[in-house]
Amino acid sequence: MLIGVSILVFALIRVLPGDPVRTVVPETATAADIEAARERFGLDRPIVVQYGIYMWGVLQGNFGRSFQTGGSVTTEMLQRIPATLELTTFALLLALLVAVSFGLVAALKAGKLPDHMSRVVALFGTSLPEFWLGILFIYFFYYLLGWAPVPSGRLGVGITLQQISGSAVIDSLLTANWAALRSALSHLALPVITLAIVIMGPMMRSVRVGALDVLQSNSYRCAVAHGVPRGRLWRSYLARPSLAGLPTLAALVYGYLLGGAIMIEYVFAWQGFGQWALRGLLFRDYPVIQAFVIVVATFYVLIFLLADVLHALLDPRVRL
Amino acid sequence: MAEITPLSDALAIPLTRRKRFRLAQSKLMIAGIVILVLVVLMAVFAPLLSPWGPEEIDFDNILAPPSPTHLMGTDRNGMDIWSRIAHGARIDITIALLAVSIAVLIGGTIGAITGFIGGWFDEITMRITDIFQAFPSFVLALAVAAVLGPGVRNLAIVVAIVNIPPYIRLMRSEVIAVRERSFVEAARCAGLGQGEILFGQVVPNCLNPILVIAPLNCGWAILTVAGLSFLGLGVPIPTAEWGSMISTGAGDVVAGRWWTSVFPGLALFLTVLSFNLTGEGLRDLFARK
Amino acid sequence: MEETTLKPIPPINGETPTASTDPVVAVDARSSTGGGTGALLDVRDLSVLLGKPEERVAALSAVNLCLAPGEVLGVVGESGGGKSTLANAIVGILPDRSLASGEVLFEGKNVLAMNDAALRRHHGGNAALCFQNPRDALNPTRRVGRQLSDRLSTHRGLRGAAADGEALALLESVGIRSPKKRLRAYPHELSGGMCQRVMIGLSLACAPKMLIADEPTTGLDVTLTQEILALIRAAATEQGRAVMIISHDLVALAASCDRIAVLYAGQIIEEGEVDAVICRSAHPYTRALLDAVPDVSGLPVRAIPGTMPTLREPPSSCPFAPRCTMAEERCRSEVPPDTRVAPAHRASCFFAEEIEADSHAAARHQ
Repeated sequence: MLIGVSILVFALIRVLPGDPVRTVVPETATAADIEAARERFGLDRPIVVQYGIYMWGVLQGNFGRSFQTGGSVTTEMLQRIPATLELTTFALLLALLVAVSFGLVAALKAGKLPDHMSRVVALFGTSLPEFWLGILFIYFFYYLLGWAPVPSGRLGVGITLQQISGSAVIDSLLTANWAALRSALSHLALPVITLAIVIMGPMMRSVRVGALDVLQSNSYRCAVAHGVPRGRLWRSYLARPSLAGLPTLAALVYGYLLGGAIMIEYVFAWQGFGQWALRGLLFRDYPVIQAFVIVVATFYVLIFLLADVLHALLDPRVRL
Repeated sequence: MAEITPLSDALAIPLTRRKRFRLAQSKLMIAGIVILVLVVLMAVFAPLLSPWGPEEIDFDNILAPPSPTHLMGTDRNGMDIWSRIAHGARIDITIALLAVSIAVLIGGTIGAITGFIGGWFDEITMRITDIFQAFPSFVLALAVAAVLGPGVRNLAIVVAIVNIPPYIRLMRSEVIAVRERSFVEAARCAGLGQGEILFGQVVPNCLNPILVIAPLNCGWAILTVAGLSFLGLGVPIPTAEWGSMISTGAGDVVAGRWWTSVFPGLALFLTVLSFNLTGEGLRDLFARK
Repeated sequence: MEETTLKPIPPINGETPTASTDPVVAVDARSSTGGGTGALLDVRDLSVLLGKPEERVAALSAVNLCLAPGEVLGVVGESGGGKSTLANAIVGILPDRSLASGEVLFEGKNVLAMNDAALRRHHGGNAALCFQNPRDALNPTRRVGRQLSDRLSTHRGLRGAAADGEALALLESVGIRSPKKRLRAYPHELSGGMCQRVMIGLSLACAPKMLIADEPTTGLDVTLTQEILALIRAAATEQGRAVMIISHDLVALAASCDRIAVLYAGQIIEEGEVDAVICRSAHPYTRALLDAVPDVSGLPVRAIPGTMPTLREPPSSCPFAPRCTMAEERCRSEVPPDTRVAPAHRASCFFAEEIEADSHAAARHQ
């Protein structure tokens, strides 16, 4: 199926109006210069050949060279992917934490205030444009209150960090660079919270519905009737059965996160994968666009596989 | 546990907490519909409601805060924000409604046919749908928007295309569930043609989930249009549209001129909220039935 | 055995029928016959209304019961007759929306009036309920062994290796072969019979003073039924617990219980020692139930015509009257009194004594 994806993307972007070559060559270029550039980028070969050459390269890890920068697409990607992963993963974790706890509480106190509040929060969250929320937060927490750092990039000015994994948090932990850790976390705070608010709605609702079902179920009532204490009751007899459907939903949400991350990276000047891809899109940088789409699609498929595994772990009745 | 009361009292019927909760829910849905109507009215009567043209520049009042002449202030180009919001409503809502309608029609039709016929046609259609759904929706919208280029008409096409696969899936699964039912068999025996059966008998019974999803989809569509415009892939620059207004004003907000982005965003948020409330309300309505 | 038919018996002219040797004692209404001073459980005049205000159902009406440690009480009735509600009330897990009046006294304290903390102590430790449909009532995401240790640690303070050892012993005691394997199993991997045994094991792990088994043999074959019932009875005879078995299977109960109570439309219409209720039934419904039991000897079976009513409020007449062949005018307008036909045998019917005599005679003639 990934082959289908790659074919689709290859064909689609060749249909792009706008000649990539023209964005690269200087304005004074003659027709001959343009032809030469086209030849250099391999765009004069038949499409099928182009596709073959490209996929062969991909299988070897080579995604070609960016039309704009001339640099290796693979290298540029690897530099930027960790930043985006850091952002989206933290956002997902935060959202999961809130969704699970609030969802369970909402179910336990169904019909009372926490329940209503959770519905309102979920509704508002899904109606908010994340880019606007990000800007609002910047206004409040940076401009008005001065709590947040300058919304530019992942680390403050003057902080140096040794790159190991590419993730600012992990690297600063690994090198025990506490200044960098503080800076990284403070820069992560606003974008992560923004993204988390927007995605927690559907997950909170899923947990709440699942938990309400479990609370009515005979298996829960039996545990109550046998006097199982509340801590154990809520952990193993309420939470665990309620969360079975969550991994699949979280995978779907992660997809939405990837899209939202592009906008948040734009707002917070995050220098991540999304921003890079956006530039590629705007400038018709074919190799960049192709790489972006293939990587995202592959990642999305892997995420769903991971979700299936988690689902099977949570619910022993499911066979992989 | 149970409350202990003398039985005679017990037989009276009090208004329980549950009932009050339900009333609150329908109030929310009504609020959603009201807001929606207001926004649509604002869009329809935009020219009447705007003291300034949507792209009219007031050179004396660049980046001016809200005042009696400019109810919501002006942006960095000197354009009146309130007027742009009113006109922006036209674009955002029109595109969303148009795109979702197209997606429902095309996606629904394809889904109905492929669900009804099955076979290799079904296989191929689902494979293609899978490929489209291998991407997160916004990423797909981004890619398609980049292909088509900016413009209002293209935006509508983008949103429509991205939303077709879910409706194909939805309609298909509904049709598959309904096509085995006895009244379909009866219609067949009565000599009705395939097309008549499909669109006359089966499809009308499959519409409920679509009616619930469509408003929620509209909400998402508006967010996508705004998002794409925010990134520069949507409407061309000076056009009044909520997303691109937020983008234009972003830099100014950080410097303290909050009205440039806050008002358009508020309009966006309230409109999407109203769609979501309506969709939620419909869902509850159908669930209760 | 001759066919027994329920014939209208002419009113007595002040003479007692020949059969019964015990003097008839007019009872001051609604007191149970068993238990006595050592009663662990004393249900007094319990009425329960279930459901939303618009759709209230009188699940139980003026129920009186007692149970002492070591006794086995069988509660028999049709589906919807209130059996599970009774169990729920005793354990203290009636749904939040229900209304109850009367008392459920466990060791003198009213379960219905307990606060949350007291209820939590009561659950399991005092009364443990074996749920109907055990597979449905086991946590599908938790191993059997863990579910056992949850109860063991709460009620017996066992943890770790000690808990595991005890769990193993429990599984063995309920007749599960290869208990080590079953400890690590998930409920969906077990058969119906095994799930039932596990459920009993879970309840026993609570070290309860009273065990309630709700339909423990539904869906099980005959041999399994006997084993399970023997298991449950052993909880009373060997471990000294008070045991209540709820079932629609009168025959099964007859073999394993000391006393039987017959529930109809939320009321106890007959209650007494097992011999008395089975062989000297004093209520038309009990007689009809016995007649309806399929007999291996091939005699025709009589189904009881009509259906059990769902009452919206406690009845003001005999609930069985519409289906009763002996019903008279006053059956339809007054509530029949709780008549004590023997020291340990009561029935709520205007004709209790006559019916008892008739049953006794019929039994004698076999």
